[in-house]
Amino acid sequence: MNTNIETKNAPTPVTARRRRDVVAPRCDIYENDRTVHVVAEMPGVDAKTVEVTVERNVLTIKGTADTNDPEGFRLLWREFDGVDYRRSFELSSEADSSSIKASMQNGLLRVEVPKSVPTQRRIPIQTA
Amino acid sequence: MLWTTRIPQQAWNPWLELEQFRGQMNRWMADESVALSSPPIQLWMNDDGLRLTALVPGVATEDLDLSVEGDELTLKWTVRDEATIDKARITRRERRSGTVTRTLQLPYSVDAEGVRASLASGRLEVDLPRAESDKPRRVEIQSN
Repeated sequence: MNTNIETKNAPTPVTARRRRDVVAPRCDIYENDRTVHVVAEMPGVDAKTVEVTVERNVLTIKGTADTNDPEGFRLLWREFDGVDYRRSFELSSEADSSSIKASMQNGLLRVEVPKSVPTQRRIPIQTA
Repeated sequence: MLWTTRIPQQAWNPWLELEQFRGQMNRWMADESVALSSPPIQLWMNDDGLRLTALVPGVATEDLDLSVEGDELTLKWTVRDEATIDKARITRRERRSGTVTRTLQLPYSVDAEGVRASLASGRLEVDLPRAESDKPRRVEIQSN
């Protein structure tokens, strides 16, 4: 009889087991007179896979964190898994969506949304 | 903030998942701030060592401290408060800042000299080789 107990007890690889969950990354938002900063926690996300888009007045951030099961090891403890990060924010009318900047460092995505300078235009009054 | 997690040395079983879930719930109930600021971990094992992965977004190398003593691994890290750096008004705060310590009781002793750690994209990877003195040894049976 050929019974391989080791293989039977081995955990199923995550990639085969289920699809990645979609989660909203934890975010801090702070602002000063000129800029709104969005700081999003996206650990394990490669900067190349991050997508920051603006459509109408909605800012959307996306990223994928993969977990690779190390070869030759068996799992003892798991508190996190690969996820798809996704979150949208509605921008106010003072946001200047044409010059938004984004950067990625240490698993943090930083998005800088500049505020447009309010301009006042005088409308000439026409008289007959 | 400090808490300890004991990791049993055994192959996968459904009770372990239940135990992990119970541990997570307990952490949530005990102190919300601990649960929110805890970096989740993964621990892998083979006969020669352990591989630990932890998610520590926004933590720089200098704010991360790792120490090993016997079969105990202590992870200490500091999350800086970014809003105060910029002297800005806070609109939304979901991230926790401060210093947290987490201790893991590993299934076996590790060779502290051989521990290697790397940090990339907010993900910490630590290789913990098993101590030679702790490795199972084959005993020769003598026959007359």
